[in-house]
Amino acid sequence: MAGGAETSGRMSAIDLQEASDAVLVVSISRYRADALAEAYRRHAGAVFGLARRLLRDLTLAEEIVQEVFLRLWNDPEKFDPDRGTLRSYLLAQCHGRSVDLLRAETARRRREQTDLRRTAEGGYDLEHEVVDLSVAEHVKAAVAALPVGERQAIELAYLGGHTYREVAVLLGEPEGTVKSRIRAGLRRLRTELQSAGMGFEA
Amino acid sequence: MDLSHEEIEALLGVYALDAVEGEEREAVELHLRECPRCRAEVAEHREVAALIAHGGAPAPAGVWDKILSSLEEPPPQMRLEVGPEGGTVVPLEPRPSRSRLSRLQVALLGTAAAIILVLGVAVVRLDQRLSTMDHRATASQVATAALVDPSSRRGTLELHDGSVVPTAITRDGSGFLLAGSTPSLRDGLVYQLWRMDGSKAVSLGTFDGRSAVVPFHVGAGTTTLAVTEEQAPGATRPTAAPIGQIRI
Repeated sequence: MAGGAETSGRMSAIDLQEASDAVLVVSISRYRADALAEAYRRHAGAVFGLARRLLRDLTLAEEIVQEVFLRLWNDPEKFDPDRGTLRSYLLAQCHGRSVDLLRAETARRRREQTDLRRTAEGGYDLEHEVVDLSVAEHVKAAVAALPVGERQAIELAYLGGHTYREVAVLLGEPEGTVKSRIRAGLRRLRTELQSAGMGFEA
Repeated sequence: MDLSHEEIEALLGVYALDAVEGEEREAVELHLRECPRCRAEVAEHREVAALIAHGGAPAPAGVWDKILSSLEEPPPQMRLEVGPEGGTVVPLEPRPSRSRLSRLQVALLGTAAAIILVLGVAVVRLDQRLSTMDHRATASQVATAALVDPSSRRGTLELHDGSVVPTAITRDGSGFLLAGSTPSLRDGLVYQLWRMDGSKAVSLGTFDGRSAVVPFHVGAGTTTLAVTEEQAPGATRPTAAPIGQIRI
């Protein structure tokens, strides 16, 4: 215990840059603000991008970023490295909070109209959402290889922030079909990405 | 809502994307608590979702500053280490990890009565802080646990203005001052804690009288601690007579 605390206490800024995400979270749990800064440097862009994509509002998206990282600071033990990467944990937090905001009843109806139009126009595709170049090509290819129904359902749920019932209405499909398409699509993506050589840490 | 395992499984994909609401969502969450296989599936879906999330936006400017300024825990205080070539400023020892805090908190529940006997008024004040300040509260609880631990060495720092600062050092050398009642200082001054090695004073760190708990670390042989008022950020050796001493 004392030995571990000693080690992390003496860890320099350079060490933090090379530390794994799991080590960062341990340092954060010891109130190391510089470890939080490093986690922010690594992942805040992705968190911000997702929140902005969902909320289409810069100020709200920034508030989500702030909230997600403060939560990591306040409850670092909620992140379980055995259950996935830090990035997927932070993005899941971001997504959950963004969607809560989106689902405020007043905003909902207006947004459904817009999304329906976007989907119809085909201007709303996942293929242009991924920018990290090292993985972008693989992800793009995997997304493009999805059956259209699966891709649309995932887009509307994940990037549109809709419930699966709303997705069913938007696409004119039975709810059961939407549930199984999303699940199947996510599995297909995973298999595709794995066979393209992309490892998943979890 | 009562759903079969099959019905739950069918919801795992949409659940991972936050596309399930209400009773169905509660039913999934209830199930996930008990089913590691379904938990693993949700985690897998979220990894995939993380990849298709927008990854390219630069971190927003200005947000980090807001985050930093709202961190509840104050940044680590400075400790002055005195070497042959003079003083260098290094951060204080890290605080105890939070996993350890929670175990101590549990241990603490059974000894609340004993704490009050030992600490009297100071604990009442601490308890009031506990409800309002989560983090510092947890640090306070660890410090309080250290105070009631029979293997800890204890002492009381009496300041010249009559305020009393309970102090404990655990067997592994972690020390705590319950410094919530120290008077606040004039601007530009800090309290500095010293370990007395014979006539030599070794700095253990500075504090400002605003934190409820001041953690520090000492070796096993220490029997006397002293507190002085110094110019911020602290001195390499005491520049004035101690305002209080503690014999442990």
